[in-house]
Amino acid sequence: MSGLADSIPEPSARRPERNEWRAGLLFISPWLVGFVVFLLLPGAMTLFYSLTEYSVLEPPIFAGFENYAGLFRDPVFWKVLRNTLVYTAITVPVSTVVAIAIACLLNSGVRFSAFWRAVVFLPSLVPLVASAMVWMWIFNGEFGLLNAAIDPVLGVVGAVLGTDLLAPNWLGSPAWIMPSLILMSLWSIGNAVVIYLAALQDVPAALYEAAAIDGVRPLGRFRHVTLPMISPVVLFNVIVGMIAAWQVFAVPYVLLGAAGGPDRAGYFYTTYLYDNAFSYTRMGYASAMAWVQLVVILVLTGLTMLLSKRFVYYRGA
Amino acid sequence: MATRPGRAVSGGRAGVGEVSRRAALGGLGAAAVAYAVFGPRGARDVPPARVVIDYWEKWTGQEGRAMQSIVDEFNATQDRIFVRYFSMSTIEQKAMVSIAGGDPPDVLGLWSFATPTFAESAGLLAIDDLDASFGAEIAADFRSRYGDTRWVFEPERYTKPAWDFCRYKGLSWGAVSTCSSMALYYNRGLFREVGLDPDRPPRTIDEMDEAAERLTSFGGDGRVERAGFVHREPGWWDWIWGYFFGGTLLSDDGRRALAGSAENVRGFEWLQSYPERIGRTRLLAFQSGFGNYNSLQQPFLAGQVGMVLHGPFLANVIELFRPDLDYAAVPFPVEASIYDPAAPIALLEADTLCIPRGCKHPREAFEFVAFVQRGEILERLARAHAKPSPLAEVSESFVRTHSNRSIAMHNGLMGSPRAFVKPQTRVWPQYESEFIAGMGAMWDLRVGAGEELRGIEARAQVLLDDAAQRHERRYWGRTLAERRPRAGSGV
Repeated sequence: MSGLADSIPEPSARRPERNEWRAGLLFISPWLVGFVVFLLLPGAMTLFYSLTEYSVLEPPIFAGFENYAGLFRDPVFWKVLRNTLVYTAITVPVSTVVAIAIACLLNSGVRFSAFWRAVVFLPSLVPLVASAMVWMWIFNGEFGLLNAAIDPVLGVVGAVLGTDLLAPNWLGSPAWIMPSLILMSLWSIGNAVVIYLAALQDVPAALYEAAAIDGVRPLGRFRHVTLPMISPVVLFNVIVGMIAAWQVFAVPYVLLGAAGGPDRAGYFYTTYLYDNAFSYTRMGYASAMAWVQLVVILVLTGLTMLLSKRFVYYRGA
Repeated sequence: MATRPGRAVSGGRAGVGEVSRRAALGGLGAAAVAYAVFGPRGARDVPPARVVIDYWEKWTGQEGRAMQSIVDEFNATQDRIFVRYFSMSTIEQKAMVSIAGGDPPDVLGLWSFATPTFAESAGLLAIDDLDASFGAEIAADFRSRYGDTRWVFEPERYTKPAWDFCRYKGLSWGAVSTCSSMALYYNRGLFREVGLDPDRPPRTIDEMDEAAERLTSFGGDGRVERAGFVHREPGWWDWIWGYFFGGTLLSDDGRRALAGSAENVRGFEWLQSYPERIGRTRLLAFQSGFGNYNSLQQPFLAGQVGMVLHGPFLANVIELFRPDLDYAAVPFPVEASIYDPAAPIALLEADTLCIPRGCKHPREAFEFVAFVQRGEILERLARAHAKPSPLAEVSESFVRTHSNRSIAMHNGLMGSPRAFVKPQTRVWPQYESEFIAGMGAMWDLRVGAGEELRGIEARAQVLLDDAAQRHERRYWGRTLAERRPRAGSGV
């Protein structure tokens, strides 16, 4: 009895705590309301709609798991799933490696580092649609900047090999659409670079000094000091990048238009989901796709977190 | 109670450099008051005591201005109604969401090919049966204003296709505002340059091939400098080519996909003959250099392409960027065996004015739609858009003063017995996307036309069967007439 009495605070002590609690709730209430109205409720509704046949204009009717079963029979679903997997599997590691490399360069005491930091970050500020339009012309098969740079090189190589080598038609040929989109994804790694840079600057200099005294070479220092120390940040960027790659939409939609270009080579999961919801008026089907997407992202994130136990080092843990 | 210096305590007092709770709330309150006092306002130019109706339309630029002037004219003649014109993109998606959300505009400007989707879902009011759609009270009001309201939407006033644009399963779901007939536009100057007679344009596919061959030229490095014809420019009708060989994509009852028919295969084999002849890589590279439709870099305006399948609205773009261009338009050539000068084959499309289910002011919306249906208004709109008139009879000045020099031909196409519209089925967007996806492989010569079209047909048939099953499951044989909405009704 005395233990229970001890655990209950005196009313006078509880009141300020309650006031703090109320004030806290009041201050975060805009976010709470937004979360409930724009995320939790719509999320719950999509779960319901995914079990119905719902065209938006007509009332939903219960269809059980028909939409989920339909996904497995839909060849376009498998196509966009494959495209999205390939895109994610390549862009995430490539952009991680490139972002870390650029961050290391910026952290190496290069002259005018503030200027270079701004240069690297600047593309992240350009609206997606605007940058997609710019890249459309960079990738242009006839007048594109990229092919203008490649053509002379191919001319020389072709002369040596005795064959006629042509620069790719980046957005017109199904084989080159995915490489084009992956290349373009590197355009906006500025955000990740800034985060890596902050992590690099947080690595204690004493560790490098100790490693240098022990005769560890620069590459070894990077592998045994830098990478472990920034590994939590790498994990964060990989997860965020993976989720973003799974949700890629605007750039392929602008660059390739409806159906993702020839052979649907640039048709992604979210684009097909959008088309089902708003062009094909199959909101129930699109809702089922959204839930499958959520499950896939959760599974991939969970796997990454599991793997991170082996590869991520937390200081002070 | 000990606190660290500068840390806010629970009572709301703040330390140095920190914002107190009271100050934060006060700041937020002040911002809210400032927003209420100085923030954005609704339209202030709405005259008092008017019923305001919202009209959503897809037109911008010159076309949008033309409609705005008609809206202004309507507003000027009114003491009761005021129309607000809103121009927007992706109007179908926005309309769908607004109707489902119960807050649609009063008038919607849709494309005619959206009619089946919206009508099948009972998203629009049927305007040719006032009592059933609007209710007895509003119908009586219309009659008191107009007498017999059928004068507004009499079939005899319109060309048959213009009347049919808004028809679906025996009912009218809107009224046409403008319409288009697609034709072959050709550059007369280039015809002269290569020794072709500009007054004798091609009529059959064979003649067209010959003209295209002569118009096509290559640079010293083998690159294409100019092409006679490129099927994928402007690339808006990837599915169309079989029609010029007598094909169609959907059976009359709308239940069977016909993409793989012999006529369609011939049409797409003809399409493939162009990359075969010119060289697929060279053609793709040439094509990737084409500029935007609404610019001087558009290939037909830039002289990169000698002939193009296009709508009458192209005349406005020519007038804007290349008024000196010597061009003409003729019915698109067809396979020699089906050539009939009295019955050209042409795709027809239209813009429609519809009244969505659940709109707030159906009677005022109807009044505006009826106003636009006046002969002189429709003609003025058509003239501004460089399009033919949807009316069966046009005034003498319409053709004489029209900005499109081939308007008489476009008007003629509207009356052709072999003119056609996009397949009227709810799954058309998916069916069309199959063509868009398959076109890449056919144009790139990676697959034969027959094989690809049979694949498209099989996939489209699955879509059609699936849609029919879903429809049956939902409505259990109830007809569209039995389940169409009334004004003010919800879902």
